[in-house]
This record gives sequence, structure tokens and C-alpha cells, in this order.
Amino acid sequence: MLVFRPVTEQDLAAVHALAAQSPVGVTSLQGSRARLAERIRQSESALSGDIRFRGEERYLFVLEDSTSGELAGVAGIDASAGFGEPFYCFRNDTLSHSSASLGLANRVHVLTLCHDLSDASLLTAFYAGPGAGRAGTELLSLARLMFVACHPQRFADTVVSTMLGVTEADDVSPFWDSVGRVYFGIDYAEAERICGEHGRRALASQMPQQPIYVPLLSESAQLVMGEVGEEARVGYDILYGDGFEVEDYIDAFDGGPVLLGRVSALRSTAASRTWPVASGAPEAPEAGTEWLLANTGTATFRAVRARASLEAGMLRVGPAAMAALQLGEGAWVRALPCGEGQ
Amino acid sequence: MMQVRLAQGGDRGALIQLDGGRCAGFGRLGVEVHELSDWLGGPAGTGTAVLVLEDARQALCGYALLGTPAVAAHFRRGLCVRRVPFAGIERALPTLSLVNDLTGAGQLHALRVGGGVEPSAGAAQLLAACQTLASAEPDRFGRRLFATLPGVRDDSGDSLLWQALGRHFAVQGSDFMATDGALLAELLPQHTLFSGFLPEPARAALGEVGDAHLDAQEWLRAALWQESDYVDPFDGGPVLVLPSQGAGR
Repeated sequence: MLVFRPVTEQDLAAVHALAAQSPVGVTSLQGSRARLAERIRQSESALSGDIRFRGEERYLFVLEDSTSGELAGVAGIDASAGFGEPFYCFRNDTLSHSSASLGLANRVHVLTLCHDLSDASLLTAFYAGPGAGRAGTELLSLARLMFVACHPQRFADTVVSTMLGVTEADDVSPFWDSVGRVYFGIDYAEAERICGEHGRRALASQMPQQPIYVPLLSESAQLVMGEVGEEARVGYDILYGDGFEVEDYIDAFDGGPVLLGRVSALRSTAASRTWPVASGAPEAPEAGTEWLLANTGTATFRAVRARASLEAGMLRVGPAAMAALQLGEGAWVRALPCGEGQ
Repeated sequence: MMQVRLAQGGDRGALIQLDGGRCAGFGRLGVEVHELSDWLGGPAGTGTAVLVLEDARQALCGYALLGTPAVAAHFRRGLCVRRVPFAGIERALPTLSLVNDLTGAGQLHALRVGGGVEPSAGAAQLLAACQTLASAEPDRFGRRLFATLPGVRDDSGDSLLWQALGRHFAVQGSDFMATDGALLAELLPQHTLFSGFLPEPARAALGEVGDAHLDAQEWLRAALWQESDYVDPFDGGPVLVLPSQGAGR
């Protein structure tokens, strides 16, 4: 059974291995081993604290195969997208240029570097390895949001997620080549490596504040603006299905879309409920329905995907899932029935 | 012996003939006959000045058109430095900013010399006369003069900068380019633009004069007009300026 749980120091080597497999655009996984170790310490510290108000906390979780003990994925969420440094992205804007004397006017599409989303919470560090499968990938993605539902005081009302943009062979980003390369003269992969080590502010803060006139970008760059890269398609579909929406923002590096989700409107947070749990639910594949199940702990937070059935105000769950969730009879479980496609 | 004088009403026919002929230099009178009559007949100290060059037989062989545009619009070329020391990145990025810095300065709209005289000598006389006139009437021509030379065009006659930049912003107004360029420039990017967003041929054309007008550039240089950071906003042609005593416009 795949179990979603907080990362621990003992996971460093496995997380480092997963990070090495992740696409180059997953900035938060591009740093050194030391950087990952620091990220794990930050998560452990955040989970052990009695947090009343969100701040600089950064949480990191892993997806573990409880049978083999191997990690199948990693995912994080930052309480504040822009706590230590602003959260940079481009906002799609329109400028009107007009000449009253000539009676002419034009509307021009521009990209404006902004920090609009700095106050939101941020989904980060998402990578599902081949062992996760579609179901595990959904668990890895949505269990973070069930953690948010369990601990709303730790997060903002809005959660954002930057999706990987379109890249070509050899990690070439058409958007970066038309924008970032103009400013910094380096490859996209090198830019991500620098940001992985030093944070996105390292380069984003040096991007000029003036609007970028979209008509001047290469045609290939314009085509990929706001488009999801193939490697992020599954993750995008999961979040979109949960209620995340595409608004006016794109990533400042690869032009991928930035998704926004209101916690009050997301299925995983607004439609999940807590029930007392009872052991003994059918675990046969044909019995009951599949749910995403999570305990309500912090450092002990666990989530699994398992069959369960709602009976007389209690959620009956199989013993394996009960054990994985570290729940006893009558404990509270947050549960979300898997919808279509989940 | 050549001489320069202010144009008179009787010069109209010869000027129009000269304007339509093959003369070295840049710019055209580019006006209708009646407008040219207004210029030539207007009272001193107002409007646009046309100076004509006569050869030894007192035949018109060149002219200079001096004026003060209500609004002058150019791109000013600049630099923006970006440094990320720990990543070994230090870049001086060329920029273009749309400005009206030269508003109020006198503009040499056209300078043409033909008719069998030595062009450079004729141009030198015309330019000297322009400078004298401008110095004598600073309220009319400002404290410095400028000339915007035509930029580089491709084989089909299209401006490289226009193709890369202007057409995206002002294509429906291209008919106004020759007559109301400063107004048309209001449609161009109002924020500083990084030249790196332009394709290489357009970048290379910034500040470069078209081959057909290289002689005019040499005449201006010889008369101590100086290169500037300004370029034409539509074709990227260079702007040369003649500072007068003291700073300012």
C-alpha cells in the first residue's frame, strides 16, 4: 500500500534520488543534497511546532510503498509562497496604446513581473516516480490538500501551484530562450540549477520590472505561454479536477500556467469530511468505494487510498489501511470519496 | 562660387524640380506646392526655414529644410546592467526608451545637393548657414540642432526595425510615418524595451544609416555634428546633433 507521510531525515538519500529523476523545471528539487537536507529539517520543524498562524513553514511529504519501504514520490507545500522571498511570476496584462491625434488605438498583450501571489500557500517539489502510478500520483497530490483541510490555520485561503511548462529535447524551453535568455544569457537548465540552489529570487529579482511585449517574443515562445508540459499533464489534470483554475499568471521561467485554488472551493478541502473510523470494511476490490483517507495529525499525518464504506455515521476501513493510517477504533479520519477519474 | 540664402517665392518651381530630382543627401521637402508657398512667403522668425544653395550661375543646386517639430519622438539607446555575482552573471543589456528629448530643438529635415556642384562642399555651405541661422534665432530653433538619417532597409525596401518592432504596434498608421511620425510613435512601446527582444538583423540596424545616405552622414560629421544615443523609432536610423554653446535643448 502506498502511504503518504511527512518526510524524515532518514529519507534524505531516497528523496535525493527522486529529486535527481525529477524534471529540470521542478526548481525546489534541483538543489544540492545539502539543500534537500535543509528542506527536510524545515519540514520536521514546521510539523513539530504548534503553529497558530502561517509563516515561513515549509512542509515536505513522501509517498512510501509500505511493503518495500521504497519511496515513490515527493511533494511539498509552503505555508506562504512569498515569505522569505517574493513569489515571482508573470501576469498577463493588456496595455492600450493610442494616438488621439491620429484617432488610432491598439491593445497590446504584455507580461508583467509581479508578486501578486506571494500571500498564497504554494504547492511545491512535486514528483511522482514510476512506482506511483496514476492512483499514487493522485494521492501524492491531493493528500497535501487534505493536510491543509486538517490544519487550515497553517495555510492561506488560496493555494497556488506552478505547473511545468513546455520544454523540448535537451531541456530547451522556448519561453526561456525568448525571455530569460535575453536577460541572463544562460540555458534554461542552468537557470533552474541556480534557482534550485539559491532560490528563484536569485534570477527573478534581476528580471526587469518593465512589461514584456508579447508580440516581440518568438512565435514558439508565444505558443507555449500558459501551456502545460507533457511531464506535468497528469499533475495538472489532478489539480484541475480538484477545482484549481487557470487565471492570469504564468511561470516566469518556462511560461507554464500558475493554478489557483480557493481552499473553500477545492474538492479535497471543501468536500472532504471527518468521520469516526471503524475497522472491518471490505477490502476486496469489488466492495465499497475508494476513498482518500487521512488521519488528522501533523507530524504523524498519514494518508492512503483505500476502499471504505460509510455505515451509521462511521467509516468502515480495512485493517491494513487502519494500520497505515496509525488509527485506532473510533479515531477520526478525514475522507474524500474518489471521484470520476480518481 | 556657391552661395546660400533663404529661399524666396520665386524659388518654388526650381525647388520642386530639385526635390524630385536625383540629389545626394537625405530627406525631401515633401510638401504640396501651396504649403511650400506658405513657407517661402511667411514672415521671418516663424515656421520652417528653407535655405537654398546657388551655384556660380545663380542656379539652385541644393537646399536645406530646417524646422522645429512640435513633438520629436525617438528611441534613446541605453544600458541596463544585471548582475548575479554568485552565478557569474553580469550583463549589460541594451535598451530602447521612447523619448521626446529633442522636442524644442531645431531639426534638419532635409539636406540635398545636386546640379553638378561638389556635393560635400555644397553641403558644408548649407550646414554652416543652418547653424548660423539657428544661432541667430534660438527661440525659433532651440539651442541645438538634430538630424535623423534614414535607417537600413532590406532588399524589398522595408525597414528592418519596422518589420521587427513598429508593425506590431502601429501597422494601421504606417501611412502617417512620413508626415506625423511623432504622433504615430505614440503607438509604440511606452515602456523601456530590451533590444534583445528584437531579432539580430533589427538590432544591428539600430543607429545605422542606410547605404544611400552615407554621404549625408559624412557631411554632417564633417560639420561637427555628433553621433547621439537617439535613433529613429521606425527605421532605427541614427540621430546626429549639433550642440550649441551651453547645455540644454
